[in-house]
Amino acid sequence: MEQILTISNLNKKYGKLHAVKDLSLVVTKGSVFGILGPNGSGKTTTLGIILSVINADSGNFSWFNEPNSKANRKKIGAILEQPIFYPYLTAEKNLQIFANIKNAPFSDIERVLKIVELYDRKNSKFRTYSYGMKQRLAIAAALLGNPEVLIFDEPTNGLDPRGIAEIRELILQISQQGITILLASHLLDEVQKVCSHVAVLKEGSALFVGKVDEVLNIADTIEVSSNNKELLSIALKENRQIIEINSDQEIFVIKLKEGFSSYDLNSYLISKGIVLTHLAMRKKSLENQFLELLTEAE
Amino acid sequence: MIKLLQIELQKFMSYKAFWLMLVFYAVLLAFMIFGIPGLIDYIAEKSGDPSKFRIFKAIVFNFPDIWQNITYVASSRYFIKIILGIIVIIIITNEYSFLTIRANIIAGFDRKDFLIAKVELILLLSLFSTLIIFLSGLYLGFTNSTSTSIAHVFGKMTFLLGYFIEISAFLLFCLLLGIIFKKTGITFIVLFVYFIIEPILEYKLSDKITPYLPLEAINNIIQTPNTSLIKIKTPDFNMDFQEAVSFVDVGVCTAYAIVFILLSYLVLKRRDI
Repeated sequence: MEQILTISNLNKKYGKLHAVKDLSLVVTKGSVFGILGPNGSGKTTTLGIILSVINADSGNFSWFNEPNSKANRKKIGAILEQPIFYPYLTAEKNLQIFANIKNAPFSDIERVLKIVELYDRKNSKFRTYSYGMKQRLAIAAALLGNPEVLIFDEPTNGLDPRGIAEIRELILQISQQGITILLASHLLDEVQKVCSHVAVLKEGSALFVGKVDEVLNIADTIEVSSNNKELLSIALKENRQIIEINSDQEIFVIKLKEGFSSYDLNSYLISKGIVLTHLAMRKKSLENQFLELLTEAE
Repeated sequence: MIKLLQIELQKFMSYKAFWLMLVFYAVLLAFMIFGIPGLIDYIAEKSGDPSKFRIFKAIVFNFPDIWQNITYVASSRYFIKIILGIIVIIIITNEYSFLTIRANIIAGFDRKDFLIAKVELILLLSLFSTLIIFLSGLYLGFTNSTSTSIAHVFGKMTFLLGYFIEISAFLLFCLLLGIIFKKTGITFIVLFVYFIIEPILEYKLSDKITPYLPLEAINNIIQTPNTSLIKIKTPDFNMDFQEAVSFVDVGVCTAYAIVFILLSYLVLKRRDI
């Protein structure tokens, strides 16, 4: 897989605060890579470093397997923290400036304004825009010049539910065109809905890096118990549908492989002649799992 | 290079405050330059002896001395060039308060591009100011001067070049302050406090050092002109007046300009944006 971004051993300190701690990760072409972490976990600092607005204390990063350069940045569209434009200029004039910096043709401006549905308001000054419109204009600016990579930092922050849905839909559409996407968010749900890969950040270091469905194992748990605990234990260990068994005194807490349910487990145990005294499904909220990830690392 | 200036100008093309201040500056400068002859006429009329003042006017606006006289007035430290300084400070600190400097870098500028674009804008502003003085000088010279031979018209025109370097260096100083202090208000305060501090330093320090203090060095290029009037009145007045722009002064001032640019670059490069 072609590497788009490689970060190795990145460090950044603000006084005593270690904002980014020995961070390493690789983003491959075509992936939607989520950087997930609570506020203050170093997401924006990391993005700031790879976009050259923040100087790292140590470590390095490379875009497209090349040394960092402004030419590489022109192939990246990014929104960091908040939409940034000249407030006294119209949307179109703002985009002209950024098109010029990126060496993108002015003809591209109409295209990106239409994608975010702001073409009718192109002659309005930026400061007259609502927050949702500002956010959309920022996406338009990021799309200028057909970038190979898009970076979004909390793209749905401050938007109403409809706006959130629209932005997520837009991100998915963009990723289907083969553009690599880097998305920082504190919302697990958001990362899970749009990302293929994820790095979970806590206090500046990565707890987990990998595919979303691996890292954020979404399997529900099933609790079982029986009068004959030993027999149950042997039967459970033999079952290939089970990926994890934890025993809690009288009760076994089990995780099943994807596609299997408590029905399958129960049928299996009946076939083995085991009668359960307790069978319960425990659905875990995603937020709980996320919090679990964070506390496990402590 | 031209692309950078073009982008820089795009930022201000529809910025009303920028144009208002620039027009205000231009009008004030022209008003000042053209106001002097009007003022002299007025005094001449009020006084009982108008001919004496007419002579004075003819001397002040005589080619080639006119170039030194009007550049001296336009470049005086605490006066009109401050308006240009304020424009530069607003331009640079706006980029910080709107965070647009960050957007510029993310879009594909490096810090050098950002700085060069600003330096180019400053040179353009200086050129604009020099041009106003040049055109006013030509007009006033031709209407008041006794001699309009080419040698006289173009003599002492090095003062215009000196003025250009001086105003550029001053504006680069303002740019540096803006880059260091980021906030418009704070930068203004620092500039004005420094306006007060430097004369105090001059008073305390030895005469050997004082010409090399930044504002003093910048201001040194065009010194108080010796209109021939003073010579006439006091033949014994044995003090060296500036007759031509000195290469040493220009060199010191240019060196300062370069130092201001390098320091600006250093601060930009080392800081997070």
